[in-house]
Amino acid sequence: MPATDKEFAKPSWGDDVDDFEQDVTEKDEDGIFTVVEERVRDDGKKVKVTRKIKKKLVKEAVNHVVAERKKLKKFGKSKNDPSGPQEDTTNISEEIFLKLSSNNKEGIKVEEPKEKVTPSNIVCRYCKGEHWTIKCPFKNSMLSERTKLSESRESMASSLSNDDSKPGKYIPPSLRNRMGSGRGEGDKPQYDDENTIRITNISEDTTDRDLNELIHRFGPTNRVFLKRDKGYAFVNFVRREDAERALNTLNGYGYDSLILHVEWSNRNKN
Amino acid sequence: MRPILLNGHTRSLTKIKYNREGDLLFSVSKDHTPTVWYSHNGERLGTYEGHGGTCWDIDVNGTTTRVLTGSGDNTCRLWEATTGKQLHVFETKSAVRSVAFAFGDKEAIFVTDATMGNKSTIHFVKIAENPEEQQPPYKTITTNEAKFSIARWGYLNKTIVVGHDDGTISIFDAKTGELIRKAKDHTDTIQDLQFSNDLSYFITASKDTNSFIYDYETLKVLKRYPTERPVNSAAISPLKDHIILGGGQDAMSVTTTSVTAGKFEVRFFHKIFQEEIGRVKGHFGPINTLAFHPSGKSFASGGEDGYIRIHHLDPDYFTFKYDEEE
Repeated sequence: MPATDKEFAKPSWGDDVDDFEQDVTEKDEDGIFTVVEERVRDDGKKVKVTRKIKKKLVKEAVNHVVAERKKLKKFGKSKNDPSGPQEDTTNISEEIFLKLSSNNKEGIKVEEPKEKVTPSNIVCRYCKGEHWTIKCPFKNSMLSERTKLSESRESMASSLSNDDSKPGKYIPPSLRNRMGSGRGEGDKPQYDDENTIRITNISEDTTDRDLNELIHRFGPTNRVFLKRDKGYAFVNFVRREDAERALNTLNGYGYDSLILHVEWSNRNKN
Repeated sequence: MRPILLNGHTRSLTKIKYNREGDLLFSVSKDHTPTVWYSHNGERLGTYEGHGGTCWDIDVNGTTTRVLTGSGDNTCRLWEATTGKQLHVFETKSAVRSVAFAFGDKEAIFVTDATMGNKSTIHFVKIAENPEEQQPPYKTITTNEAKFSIARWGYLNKTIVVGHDDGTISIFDAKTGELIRKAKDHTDTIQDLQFSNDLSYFITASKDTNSFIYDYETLKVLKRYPTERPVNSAAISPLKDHIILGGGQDAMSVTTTSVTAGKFEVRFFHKIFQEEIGRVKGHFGPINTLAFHPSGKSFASGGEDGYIRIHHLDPDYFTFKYDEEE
């Protein structure tokens, strides 16, 4: 890209040199300036920086009429513009790359997958060969063996839960609820999910107190959880019939310009 | 490369054209102001004030003294290229779609639309040395079939090569106005028609998503460049065996498409092998018009987004060789 007149007139700020001692030699026979400067680094050390700069004046031969036209006066909307490109009409875009290649047909149209799967990464689950499981030639013969395998895995799991008595033994979360000890995921206290209702489409202005006021007339509750910015709440009643009554009454109930939607909480649906 | 962004236009570009030496770039857009730019640094030289409607086409004569613009305000205007002074207004009965100076600058044609009972017409005018003696069109060619979308002079000003709205390409005798030859390979509007340097073949861009290179003498399709989207413009590199295509989906469906899926890139194809060799991103709307610098060292594109981008190609572009070329 040819540099504009403007760029020639004012050197880039990157070329500006701070107020440090400078020693500029005259250009040597190759037209190279040597700039030696001493500066103090941030850590207090004094360093000597030697830069070699070569300036080259590029002359371009242009058609005579083109040269004449470069001196034209601006007209129309640009009438009052000073010479040189104006920022309101002319800008430089960001760097763009044109990469030419001969067999671009696939290369261009299909974006390269982010993670290339090399053959070494592919291991068949059946026969451990270097191909996708679905393409395994032993798929059918291995299938029966595989079912056996999963059966044995299940029995292992059940044996694990039987070993419950041993304290301190790590039990994977997926197996924990098989233990039937009343402890759910993690160490959170487990509420009786059966009596929990989920209220959605609650206005964002609703406070915990508002919700309690709304709920308490149906009966005693264990826990009221309100997520205001998401506009939903979980209410866990002590008695199931209270929960049922609340669900029937509040579902479709207009509350602060919104219509509440009430349903049994997700977990107890399953 | 870092393209130069020209944002003087307030609406989508309709046509850009370099002058003969390539130092100036002329542009028209749907705003009413034809504009001229210095192509080497993107500086705006001036604007041509006077049109009252969308400008569809612009042409500059060989010596860069006159500019002809066609507009939707039912006029075709002749300007002094270097001062912006309006020299003459050709009043028409419908919108002017296409304008072209003849080689030698003594004549010009402009194409008017078929609207309100007027037939689509090619008007011939003699360009007077003294603008005050400028005469109205002395001859016309009309059609009863699909209307003309673009018209260009054939070599030695002997013929007029015309693209139609239904995809037909026809060649008329410039003297008698008779139809010499026609071919229908495209199935939708011819959006652009640009000649090679020696005028022996030309490239078309059509809404039917194809771009063809036609032999001028026989109107046989020499090369085909199929794409998957409407092609708005196509240009032949005067330097290398490349062509560039620009397009995108219809303007009305642009807002519902993301930039990455919109395919608003300029696509480079190898002219001989008809294979895509590269793409240049940048516009965020369909590309409406493309032009190669006469030297082949840079090209410009004008988009529906209202920007013109001038690309001065990097040195490695010129050293690139296609596999089969080595």
